[in-house]
Amino acid sequence: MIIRALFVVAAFLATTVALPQAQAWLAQSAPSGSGYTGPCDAASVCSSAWGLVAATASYASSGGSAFEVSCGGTDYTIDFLSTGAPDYAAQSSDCGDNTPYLLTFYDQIGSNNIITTIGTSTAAVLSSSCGTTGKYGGYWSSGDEDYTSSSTITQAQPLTMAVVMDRTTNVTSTQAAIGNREIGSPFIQFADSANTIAIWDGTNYPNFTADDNELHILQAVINGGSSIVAIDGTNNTGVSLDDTADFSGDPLNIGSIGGQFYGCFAFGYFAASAVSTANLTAIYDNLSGQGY
Amino acid sequence: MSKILAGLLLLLLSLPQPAHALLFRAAGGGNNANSDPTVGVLPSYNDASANWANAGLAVVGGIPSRSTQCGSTVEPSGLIPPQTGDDADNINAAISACTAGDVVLLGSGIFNLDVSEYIELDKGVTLRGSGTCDLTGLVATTGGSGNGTTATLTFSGSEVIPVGTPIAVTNVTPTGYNGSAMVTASSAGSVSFANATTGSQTVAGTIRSPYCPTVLQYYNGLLETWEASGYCGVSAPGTGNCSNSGYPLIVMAPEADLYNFGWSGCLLPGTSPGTCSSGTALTADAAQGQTTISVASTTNFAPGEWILIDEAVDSEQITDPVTACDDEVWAASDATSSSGSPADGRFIWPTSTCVSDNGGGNPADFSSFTCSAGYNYCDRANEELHLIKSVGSGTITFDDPLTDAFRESNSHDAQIYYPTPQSSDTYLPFLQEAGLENMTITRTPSGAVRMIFCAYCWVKGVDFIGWAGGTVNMIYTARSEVTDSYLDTGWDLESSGAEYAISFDNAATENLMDNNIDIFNGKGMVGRTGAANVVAYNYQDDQFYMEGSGIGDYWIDVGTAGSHWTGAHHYLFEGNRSSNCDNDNTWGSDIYDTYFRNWCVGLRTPFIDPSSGWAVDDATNHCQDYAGDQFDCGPLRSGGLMAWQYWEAYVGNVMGLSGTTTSANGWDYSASNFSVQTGAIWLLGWNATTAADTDPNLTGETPYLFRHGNYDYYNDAIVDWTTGYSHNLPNSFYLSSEPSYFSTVGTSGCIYPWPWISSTSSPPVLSPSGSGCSADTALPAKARYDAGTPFVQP
Repeated sequence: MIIRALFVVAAFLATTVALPQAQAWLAQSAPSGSGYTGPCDAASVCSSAWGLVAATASYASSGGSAFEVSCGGTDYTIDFLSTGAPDYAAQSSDCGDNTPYLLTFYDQIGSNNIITTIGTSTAAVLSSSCGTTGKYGGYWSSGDEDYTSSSTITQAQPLTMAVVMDRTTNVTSTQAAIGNREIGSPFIQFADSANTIAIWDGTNYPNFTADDNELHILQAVINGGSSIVAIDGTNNTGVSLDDTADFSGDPLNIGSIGGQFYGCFAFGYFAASAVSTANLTAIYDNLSGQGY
Repeated sequence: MSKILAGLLLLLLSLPQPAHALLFRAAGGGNNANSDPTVGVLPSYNDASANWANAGLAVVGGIPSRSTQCGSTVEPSGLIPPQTGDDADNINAAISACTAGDVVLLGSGIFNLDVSEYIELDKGVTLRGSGTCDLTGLVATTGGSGNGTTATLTFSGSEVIPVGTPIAVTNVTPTGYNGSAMVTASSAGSVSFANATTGSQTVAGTIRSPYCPTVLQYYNGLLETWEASGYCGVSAPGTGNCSNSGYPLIVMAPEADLYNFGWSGCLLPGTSPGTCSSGTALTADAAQGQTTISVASTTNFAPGEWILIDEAVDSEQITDPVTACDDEVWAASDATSSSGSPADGRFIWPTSTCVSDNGGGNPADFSSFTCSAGYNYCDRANEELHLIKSVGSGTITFDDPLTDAFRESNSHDAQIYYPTPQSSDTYLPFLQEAGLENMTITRTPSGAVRMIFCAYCWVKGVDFIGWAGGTVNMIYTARSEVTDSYLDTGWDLESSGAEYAISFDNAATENLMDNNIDIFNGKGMVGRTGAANVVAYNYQDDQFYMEGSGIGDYWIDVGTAGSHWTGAHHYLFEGNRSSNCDNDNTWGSDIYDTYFRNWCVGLRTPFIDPSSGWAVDDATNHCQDYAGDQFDCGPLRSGGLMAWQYWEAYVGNVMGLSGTTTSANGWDYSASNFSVQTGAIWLLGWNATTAADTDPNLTGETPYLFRHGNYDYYNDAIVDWTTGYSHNLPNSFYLSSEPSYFSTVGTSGCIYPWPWISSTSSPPVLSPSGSGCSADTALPAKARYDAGTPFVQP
């Protein structure tokens, strides 16, 4: 009888914990006219963009793919709604209470440069409780590996990379965020001390303060002496980032580059140009306006 | 054209002439125009009899009997969709060419749609199939053979099932022949179909072919493979999971665009921002029973318009009465008041600090959670639809009363809205008097029929088989009806939300579901907001979860219920025969419902699980789990209100099964803990997550539940008369006379007495009379199902 009782509870959980079946229009092609503006609308600089925020209104309104999730042994592609958010209701319906492993983030700019991991054993898990405000993100924990772009990049400086990420509190080893694994040095990473962001400058990692366990909007313009490090809307100029760290037919990587990452990823973009301070601010304003 | 003129034109064009006077009749009309049958037998806060009497098409004289055919009969094209001139094209073109009141007649045969297509029933016409739905349908075979590419099954009977007919083949040995298939050769008494089993085989099993001569199917739609998430394709085993963004096969709505709907120019709920700032505010509180409200402006409102009225729950965090997690829920300030009066929007959202407690998650998510599913604007779960009768100076009068209070005071912020497209503030009249009749609809992966912005619409005599996403979904729909239909077997019965046979959604108000067979689904039905819907005289049974679903057929979910989101209220369940009479609390509370003269059996009728071939029998605990191992069945209960489902009324029902739901068989009269009970007439206040934790407000003698005159087969007596209420129960809470399906004498000479449940009589469940009649009970729908003739009354 005890076994039966436990089993019944478990089964009932299976029937009830999943999010409610959403109304049909939320699981269908997105309606138009929502007025959504994405970060890559705020500044049309993105060469590629990935994550759980629709980069552009057109990508959202057309129901573009956000991510591929694996749950219960089946893979599902989840699209964006016109609201700029992925169709989490469909995801929930697909996955029930099975763990949602994020296999792929689709490139929303149209260059087909998706980023993906090798399988569920190394995949981040979709979480709705990232940061202190409970945002959606891909959550990395022990054993989760980096995501690699499907296409390689050949791009000399200037270039720009950005992520919206957080690092779990009390994890103070070096934590990679975004960069080029081929050269062994991530451009943006969490440093080996708490509440600290580090940017690779070719020799060292100049540090910037950013509290752990909070999602941060981190943008780095790599452009020699004209580089900019933008941390949550503060544009730090006067830094000189590595002037040799170009992409030469290399993939781009997010998370776990050169070190285990513990934390969340919500959005990232790559620009084959030096993004201006005005545009860095516009993108920050857009993302922060969405709660990041 | 101004909205007022549009509204007048709508009335002139869309309604039969005799209906006009009825449309503006005095409140409280319909089937019970002159009396309130609930007086003395039901608490006043449960009483929505004036609205129940208007359910379905009662106000306009019932479903019209139309005979004017528009254009030629539309015949199956024979084309493989999608392509120009295929069946979807032809049917949609025929509808476009007709005017309100016409009949678009479909010929006999198979109409094939691609899953990218759907039928746009956007006029007040009747889309009707040909002939009579009296075909062989469910056929028990006597055996046959297979040779590796085809199998042939023989059956008793002379009917020839046409080549190309979609069929379900179940309970076959060897199992390789199970699944959905297409008839490849047919003669009297036998069919051949493609299969995946190799080698010579002897086969036996069951065929489910359409009962109606006219069949609409998704040619590449859902297949009976019993695979998780459903498999689609032209034929079994299919090409993989069905799309999660497909269409219902038929959309009954004023706009062909599936998503071009809104209120007062706002996007629908669930679409950012989830709120509507252009609603019109009430200027004074309105109580239950009021027909006139005071508003800040009458601009954009005119007689003949259907409007939405809603209010915020105005939730605050209170201690969850279900205390296992020692946490809190979001609820109205009076959500746990010990008095049901006055009737107002005292709902409980499941949001909890204990994230395992029903999924509401962090309290910080409350705002987005309350509108996330798209059934209501954020937190505004108390919502109804009403028809404007007249407009005064700062006032609007409806043609029948509010079933619940709508308050402008505090932060309830009651508002009304007029229907529009999603991206403009132009008035969009509801579609009125569109009907669907006399056909089989099958293989629908994303719902079969969706009504949205529909009034006085109907589905009558339709044979649904092989669906996911439900048979009929009523969304912002009023006074519409699903009747005389067979809601048979979903093919993706797992916990995904696609396993509910029928749903009343988004303020659905005064709709009627009656005289249907509702069987083999995950949940018999759900009610996700809305009010005064009437569910009556249906046979609802044998809900189960398929093998491989992670659950198993042992789990007995809700049968007759008006729940599964926060906000539904004042539903009436009358005269149904159901495995249970429940309300679940998974996504919040639903209140003020009334269960009257139902037979809430407490067990499912023994059946063969078509996903596994397992013989399910609740009485002997012969069920199986998700892995296919034998397992006890449950939870067994006749009336199963879960936590937070307050101020429901059970009057004059029959609870349990004679000789089975007894103390000798281990049953209890009342229980609250589902994990340790082996069957209870009343399972009250139970909780999904922590079995031992229950809602103390629903245990024992409690003011949160009204029980009166219910006969139970545990005591073999009525033990719950409530002091101060009459023992003289009326025949019906919504009808003034016997419905036609009771008065009809069947083909076997059965005469069905009404009311068929009489808790004060002996026996309390009545049988039909008539020589040659073998029906076990006097419920017409059950008799049709048992006879194997779901559309012919024996």
